[in-house]
Amino acid sequence: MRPTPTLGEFEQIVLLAILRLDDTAYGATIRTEIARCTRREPAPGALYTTLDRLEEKGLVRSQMGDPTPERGGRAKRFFTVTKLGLSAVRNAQRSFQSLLKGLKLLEGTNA
Amino acid sequence: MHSASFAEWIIAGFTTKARAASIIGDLLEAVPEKGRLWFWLSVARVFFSLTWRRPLAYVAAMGIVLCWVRAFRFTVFGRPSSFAVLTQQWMQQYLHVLVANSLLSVAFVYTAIVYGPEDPFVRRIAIVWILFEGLIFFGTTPGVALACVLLASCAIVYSLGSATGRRGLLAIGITAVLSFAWTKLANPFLAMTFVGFHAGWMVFLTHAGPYLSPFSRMILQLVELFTLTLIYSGIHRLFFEKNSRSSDNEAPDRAQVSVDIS
Repeated sequence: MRPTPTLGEFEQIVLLAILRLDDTAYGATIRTEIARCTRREPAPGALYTTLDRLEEKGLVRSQMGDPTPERGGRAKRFFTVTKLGLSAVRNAQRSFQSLLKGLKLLEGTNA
Repeated sequence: MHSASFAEWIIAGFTTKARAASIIGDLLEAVPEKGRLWFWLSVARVFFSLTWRRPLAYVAAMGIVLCWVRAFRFTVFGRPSSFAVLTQQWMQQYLHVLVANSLLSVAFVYTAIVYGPEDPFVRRIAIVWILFEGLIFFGTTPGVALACVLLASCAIVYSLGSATGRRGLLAIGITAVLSFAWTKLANPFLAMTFVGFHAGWMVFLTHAGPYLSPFSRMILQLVELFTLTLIYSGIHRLFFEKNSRSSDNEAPDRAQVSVDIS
């Protein structure tokens, strides 16, 4: 069992987007989901290099789907989060939760 | 859209064909909404993100060789008494160690920038490089030389104990042999190709034969360095770019995910 790696901010965003999309997570939908939730359009280059890096770290796994006509006959590359990836997201979110504790930031008192 | 095939061909030069196709497919899906200009800007950004590390690594590798040569001149050559203990025969071996070390410097800096410090190939090169540095700068002190040899022996024995270690050891061995062979054998070929005559020996560090102009020497060194980086990238692709298949990479259960993120 390898140690759970730490995640950068964008890596967390990408992993959470993949988890939200479940079976339909591939490049285009991940980009759309991130834009919808964060109101920021991720740079395509950053997205694909991050996905590759996450796969190299063993945090996500990809498999090719079937070719579709609207993509010029090109296959989609679907992503799923691995157990290690899920563990890394969970650790990162726990850290955020403990940092947020007592701040009442989301209630707007400190805003 | 024929131009999409061209874009795919460009991207495929820096990643696998399947990944390039999926990236271009993703971008094509958004073309009806965002337009062709967005498509080509996105292709350019993907291209840049896949390639920016290589030229940087190339320049850094070139810089480290120059720095290393200067450091060597000021330290080891600056105290000639260091060589008093070396016989003529050992001096020849020492020169081989010097060439090997300069190649390791290039390999370490290039791979560290392109693949990151956590890469297994980079870590193995770093260990060998540190041992070589110890030998070169302090090797005339018997204790240090013995310590370097002992550490190298321990690292080899430890690596032989696992399949990953053996693969890493093989990669390092092939890197060393190919780099050394390229530096020793290809220089005359390069010199003939670019300058038009047999240039002799050791283009890499400082000597390129007495007849070469500084410009020709620089071109030869750049070409040589470039081919070395291609060798290192090829070895990395061959030995270290397979996705891990361990149980950590299994997808988690659906139920577990839905509970965790709800």
